[in-house]
Amino acid sequence: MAVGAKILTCSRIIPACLSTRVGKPKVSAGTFLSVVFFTLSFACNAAVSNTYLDSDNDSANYGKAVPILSSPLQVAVAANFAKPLRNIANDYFKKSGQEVSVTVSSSGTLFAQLTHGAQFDVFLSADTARPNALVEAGRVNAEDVHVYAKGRLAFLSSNTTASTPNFTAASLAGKKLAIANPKLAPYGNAAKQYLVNTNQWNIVSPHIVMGKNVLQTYQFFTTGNADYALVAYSLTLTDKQINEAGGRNTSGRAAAALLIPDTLHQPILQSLAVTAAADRKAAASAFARYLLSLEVQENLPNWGYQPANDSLPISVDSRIRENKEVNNSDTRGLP
Amino acid sequence: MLESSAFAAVGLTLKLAFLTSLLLMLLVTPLAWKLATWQHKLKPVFMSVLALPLVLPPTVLGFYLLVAFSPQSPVGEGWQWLTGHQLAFSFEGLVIGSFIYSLPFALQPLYSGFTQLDKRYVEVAHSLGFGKIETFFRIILPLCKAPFIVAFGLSFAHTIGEFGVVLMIGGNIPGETQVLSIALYEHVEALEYGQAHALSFGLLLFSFLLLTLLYRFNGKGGQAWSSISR
Repeated sequence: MAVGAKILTCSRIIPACLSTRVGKPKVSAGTFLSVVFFTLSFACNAAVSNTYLDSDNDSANYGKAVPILSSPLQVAVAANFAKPLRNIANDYFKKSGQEVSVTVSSSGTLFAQLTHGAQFDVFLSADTARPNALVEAGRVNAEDVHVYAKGRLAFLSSNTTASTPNFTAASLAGKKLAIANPKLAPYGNAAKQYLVNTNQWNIVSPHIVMGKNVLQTYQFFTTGNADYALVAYSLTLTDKQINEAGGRNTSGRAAAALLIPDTLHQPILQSLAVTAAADRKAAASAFARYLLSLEVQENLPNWGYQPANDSLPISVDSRIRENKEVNNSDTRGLP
Repeated sequence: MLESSAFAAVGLTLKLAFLTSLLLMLLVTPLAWKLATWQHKLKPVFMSVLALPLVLPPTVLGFYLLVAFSPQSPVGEGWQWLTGHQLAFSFEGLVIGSFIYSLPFALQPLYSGFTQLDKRYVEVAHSLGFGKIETFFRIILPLCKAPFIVAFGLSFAHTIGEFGVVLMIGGNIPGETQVLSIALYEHVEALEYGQAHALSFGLLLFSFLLLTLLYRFNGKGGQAWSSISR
C-alpha cells in the first residue's frame, strides 16, 4: 500500500512530460528519455507489484486476463472525482498490479489536451458532453464511453440551523451564494437548474459568485467569503473536518450541508471515455470495467455519488438514513 | 461578432489596469526612492519580500488573498467595518490583489532608475533652495522619465494579463469582476473557440502595441538618459 502510494506520487510527474508533448513531432528526445526513465523505474518496482499479486490472489481477477503495462495507466479525471479515483486506483493496483497515474484538472482543460494529442488512457469527465464530443470527433468509439457515476448537489450554509434554501431578497442582503460556472461545470449547471426550478433564480442571481469549477466554489465557502454555496455533495463528505468535528468545515466555521433532492435538477451524469492507443487499450478497458464493476459502484454512495446503474438499490439518500451519525446536519430537510 | 459582455470585460480590464498602475505609481515611487538611498543589512531581506509576488504562483497568491479577505480575518473584517461591504468578489478587492501582484513590476524599474540617478543633481537642487516636492517635479521626474514610463507601462500590461489572482478572488461577476482574462478562459473552457480567438487576438494586438510603445520610449529615454548623466 505504502509502495503503491509512493509510485502513484512519483508518476504524477508524467503530466508535465505530457503537456510538453502536445503538438510536437511524434518522438522527441525528451519523450524518449521519459519513456526510458519510466520503463526503468517500473521494471525496478515489478518485484514489489508481484508480491501484492501473490498475497491478494483471490481478488486478482482484473489483471489476469489483460497484460500489465510497463508504464502506469494514465487516467485523467475531473477535479470533483479525484479523491474517489485515487482510492479506486490504489485498490486496483493492489488487485491487478497495474500502476495508475492520476492527472487532475477540469473536464474542459483535459478535453482540450486530449483533442490536441495528450496521451491519456482513460478520461473521466464530470459530464457526458465532452466524452460524447470525443465520439463525434472520431477520437473514440461510442462503445468506449460509459456513465460511471451520478453526482449529487449539496447546499452549504454558514448558518448551522439552515434548512432547505428558501431565499428572499431580505435574507440575502449583503450575502453571497457561490455556485460553479453553469457554462463550464455540470454542478454549476445543476445548481442553476435547481434555483430556476424552485423559482429562486431571479432573487439569487445578483448575489451569485462563480468558481471555475466546483472545487474553487467550495473554497469560496470554506474561506468564509461566501455565505452559501451549491456544490458537489461528494466534496462535503470528503472534507474530513466537516464530518469529524460535527458540522464544522476546514476553516473551523460553523456550517451545515444539505443534500438537494435529485428530482429538482437534471441528473448529473459523469461519463468516462477509453482514449488509449491500440497497444494500451486492453489495459485501459480493464480499468474502465473495474470502475463499472459492482464492487466499485456499490461503494460510490460513500463518496457522495449515486451508482451509474439505477438498478443498484443503494443511493446516497439511503446511505445517509443508515448512517445518521456520519453528518447529522445532512439529514435535515430530507424527505 | 463579440458579445456585449466582452466589451464590458474589456472596459473593466482597462479600468482595473489603469487604477492599479496609478495607485502603484503614487505609493511605490516614495518607497523606491527610500529604498534607493537606504543602507541597512536587512535591506536584501526587505527587497526580497517585495519581489515575492514574482515567485508565488498567481493562484496561490490569490488563495492567500481570499483567506485574508474573508470576513473572519482581520483584513476582511476591517474592510467590512470601514466600507460596509465585503472585500472578496468586489472591484476594490481586485485592485488590491492586482496592486500586490504587479508591485514588483512598478518597483524594479523605479528602484534601478533612482539608484542610477546622480544624487549631485538633487544635492544641488537642495542647496539652491528647492523644496522636496519641487525637487521631485523639476529634477527627479524629468531625469527619470524613462523608468517612470516603463514602471507604469509594465504594471499596466501585467495587470491586463492577470488571471490567477482575479480567478481566485473575483468570483466572475459580469461588469464587476469578470475581466478579460476570465471571460477568455470561460470561452475556451466552454469550447467557444470563435469568441476565444477574437478576444485573444484583440488582447494580443493591444498588448503588442502597448509594449512596442513602451520599448520605443525606453530606447529613447535610455539614450536621453546617458546624454544627461555624462
